[in-house]
Amino acid sequence: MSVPAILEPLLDRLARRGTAGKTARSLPVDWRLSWTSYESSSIGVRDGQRASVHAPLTLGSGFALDYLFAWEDGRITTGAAERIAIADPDRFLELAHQAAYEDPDGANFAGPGRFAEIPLASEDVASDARSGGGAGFAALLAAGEAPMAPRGFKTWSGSISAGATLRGVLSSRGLDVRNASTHAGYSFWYEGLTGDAHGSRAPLATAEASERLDRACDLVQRLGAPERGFEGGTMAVLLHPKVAESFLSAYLLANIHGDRIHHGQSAFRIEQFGSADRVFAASLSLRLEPSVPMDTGSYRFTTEGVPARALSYVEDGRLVEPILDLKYARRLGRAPVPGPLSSDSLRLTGGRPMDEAEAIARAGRGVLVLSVLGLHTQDSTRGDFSISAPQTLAIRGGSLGGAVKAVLTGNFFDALRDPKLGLVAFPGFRMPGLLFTGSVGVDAEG
Amino acid sequence: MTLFTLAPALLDEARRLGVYAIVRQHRKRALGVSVQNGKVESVGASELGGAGFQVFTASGHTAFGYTDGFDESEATAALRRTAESAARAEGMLSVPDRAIFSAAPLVLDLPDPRAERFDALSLERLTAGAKSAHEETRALSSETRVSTNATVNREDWRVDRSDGTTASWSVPRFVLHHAVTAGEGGSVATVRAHLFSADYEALGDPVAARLLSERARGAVRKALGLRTAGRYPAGVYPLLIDYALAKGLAHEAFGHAAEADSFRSSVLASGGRFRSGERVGRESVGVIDEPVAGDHAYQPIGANGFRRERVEIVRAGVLHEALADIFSAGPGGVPAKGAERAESYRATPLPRMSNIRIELAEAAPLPRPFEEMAPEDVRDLVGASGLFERFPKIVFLSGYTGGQVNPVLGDFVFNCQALYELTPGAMTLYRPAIFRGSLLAALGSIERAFGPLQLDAIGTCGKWGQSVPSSGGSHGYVFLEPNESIGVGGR
Repeated sequence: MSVPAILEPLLDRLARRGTAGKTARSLPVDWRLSWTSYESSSIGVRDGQRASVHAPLTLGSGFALDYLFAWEDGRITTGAAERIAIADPDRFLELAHQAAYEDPDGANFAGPGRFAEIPLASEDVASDARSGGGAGFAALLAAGEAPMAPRGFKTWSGSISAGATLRGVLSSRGLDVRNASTHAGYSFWYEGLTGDAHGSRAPLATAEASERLDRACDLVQRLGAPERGFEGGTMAVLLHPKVAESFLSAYLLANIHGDRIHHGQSAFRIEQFGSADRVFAASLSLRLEPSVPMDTGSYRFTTEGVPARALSYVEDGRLVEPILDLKYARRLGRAPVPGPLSSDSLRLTGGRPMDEAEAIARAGRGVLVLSVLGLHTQDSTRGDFSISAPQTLAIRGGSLGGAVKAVLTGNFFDALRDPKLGLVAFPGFRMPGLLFTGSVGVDAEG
Repeated sequence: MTLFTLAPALLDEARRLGVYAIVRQHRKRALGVSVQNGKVESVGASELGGAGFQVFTASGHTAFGYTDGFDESEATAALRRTAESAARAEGMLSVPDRAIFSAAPLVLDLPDPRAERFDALSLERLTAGAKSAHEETRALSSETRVSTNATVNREDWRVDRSDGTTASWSVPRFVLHHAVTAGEGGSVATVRAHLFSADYEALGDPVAARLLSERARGAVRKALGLRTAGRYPAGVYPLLIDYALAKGLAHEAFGHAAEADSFRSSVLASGGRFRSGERVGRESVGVIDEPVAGDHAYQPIGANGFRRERVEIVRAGVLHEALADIFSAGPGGVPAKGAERAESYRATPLPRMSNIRIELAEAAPLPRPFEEMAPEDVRDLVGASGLFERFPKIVFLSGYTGGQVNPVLGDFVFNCQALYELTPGAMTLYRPAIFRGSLLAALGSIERAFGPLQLDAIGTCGKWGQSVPSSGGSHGYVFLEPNESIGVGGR
């Protein structure tokens, strides 16, 4: 794989430092370029209409660059650009020089490193990305539409996509790492309610999609039947894996970023990481696993050129490593720690492992929460939540019932501290669902 | 803008291929500064630009393509592939749409002279201005931590169509946000204050600077108070919401449900058509969306090259018009309003809001400008209006932190920065709580308003993976009678 031709004029200028005489002022002494070149195809369905004018078959390609320059006077420049910005590399560098600022902790340039070889690309998906999907898209559309008639649904929406990406990081210190990856995915939902989304590095198997959609449509049908006479109160709350993932991201991951910790905007202090201080239930662990071949959560390096590696953010209820980019690693006197590419990179373990049927039986009286509104509006530092959950199913007598409109209130950190927290395996989801006791308000009619 | 030179070649190619094309060229440049607790943490620049094109076969099957940059041969090749895809779309059982063939051409150029100043911007001055505003906010309390982000951007758009349309516009934006955090551990509270202007030099304008100072002062007061504030019990209450929350209500509850591309499932439509003529509120209540010059969400021309028009979603309490583009208007039974927007050249345009507001026929005056109203003043205002005689306890929700809606079910939820319980002679601060419910119930509950229109509540609106600037507001304060279908969360 060679460096994209788009970058060559800029790299040529950067290589001239030392021979450029008077123009050297506008040439950085150190630099890092993190580049991405991509092709993608997608198709949408809006309320049963395939490839309509508002969700058409789409083909696109592009190039994106994140850059960091350090200048002779020690100042640095950071930014993001597309091809238009670097078409004239002299102008680009001159403007970058004008945008320089002082940030000694920000001048970090990785050199050559050891990067695991992890296959992440499928030629078949890359071909779909270039060509508009073809037969693969048609088969997935058919799988998406299949539940409609037998289940008596009125509407469905969603999209299918295929993407091929080439990423790389280059630096003045000799770093030159790159990687090709692909991603195929679909997301379908029914009756304006829930559905299923799934992704893969390789072509998606239609049979697997059909199975997953079938399970999701069982839930959609239940959401269509209100549960009468179900009253709120303190009860078992079972967060579906999709919802658990959102909570984990909004509350736990958001609070272990180095910048938030350093600036006092996190629920945690840096001294807690690596200490004996137990902040969650004793068995709870959250690990990063970025090295599984062809896994959607895997990656080889961060945008700063830091090698991906398996590690623990939380182990046995203790904070182990915060997510640290190069700047905050330096500022906090620690080694850089990569973050997850997506929730597919994460492994949440511990609590009381159980399967879905066992969790519902154990819940007795409670709710299965399939989606929430307004999680992004919550104050994540406190851990408090007070959110609307209009797509929720009642659990009565240990069995799943019909729909209720619920309001969930509580504190997510308290839930993670609870030794009785259940981690619930749902078929087709790596992220477990979460079962805990919470406060549930229920609107008069579900 | 001289960079936008691709249209003639692309439209020629479209003609040669026998397809209709909408060519959209876009460039966006931005500069940003981040200051945290007294230190400049980052200064960044970004630039994107390219062309997107939607092509239609003679039978109305369509595909969309885009390419970054403005290379004519690459863009032309991408257009050819897009045309091939449009032809193949029929094989995927796509739904044809020939509405664009009946469009009238538009030739209109609406540059904003303030955007022209982008090239002359001094990053040093922006940094100095952001730092100065930051320090001023830090000085308000030794018990808070402050994060300040200031950005300036310039967007340029040009839309050309096969029917001869050539429409272009530019938008300048300056946005500054303070995030004020107080407390530690389990009692942390963060409250935000912002300033928006179409003038890049807004911080040098004494009026704008004073406005930001007042908002920062309010944010510090709230953040400090929230450290020890308790939770308010969930329930149904008479509600007073400020204009930022009213913008949230208008946007989340009505705007999205009035977007005509969703009419096959929206609660404001029946059988795919807008429920025009149905009463949804008191006769005094209106919901209006329109581009406002110099506004955060300003867009005078739709992303398909049609003049964007004022839309009275609710007129005198009755559903009246919808946010429709040329494609959704016919099926939705409403007139086209040029309401389509796209996040960038990479995105397909969708009907979206611009500046949306709830407007009442009459509003009681405020004793002082909105920004100078302390919560105690709000309590006294409510008292003077006689509302305590009917409702001895009123919940006042202040500041908007975001929201979400399901337009299919008609459920909305949004969150505030602070909740106050107002009673005659007393006022107590509580932690923020969600405001949730049914959109029709909420509109039907609006009873009265206080103060002049305030339309500068800003945000970012997400839909189908695209984010665009949003804005709007209402009168300074809007009162909603208690209704079983709208409630305040909590515990």
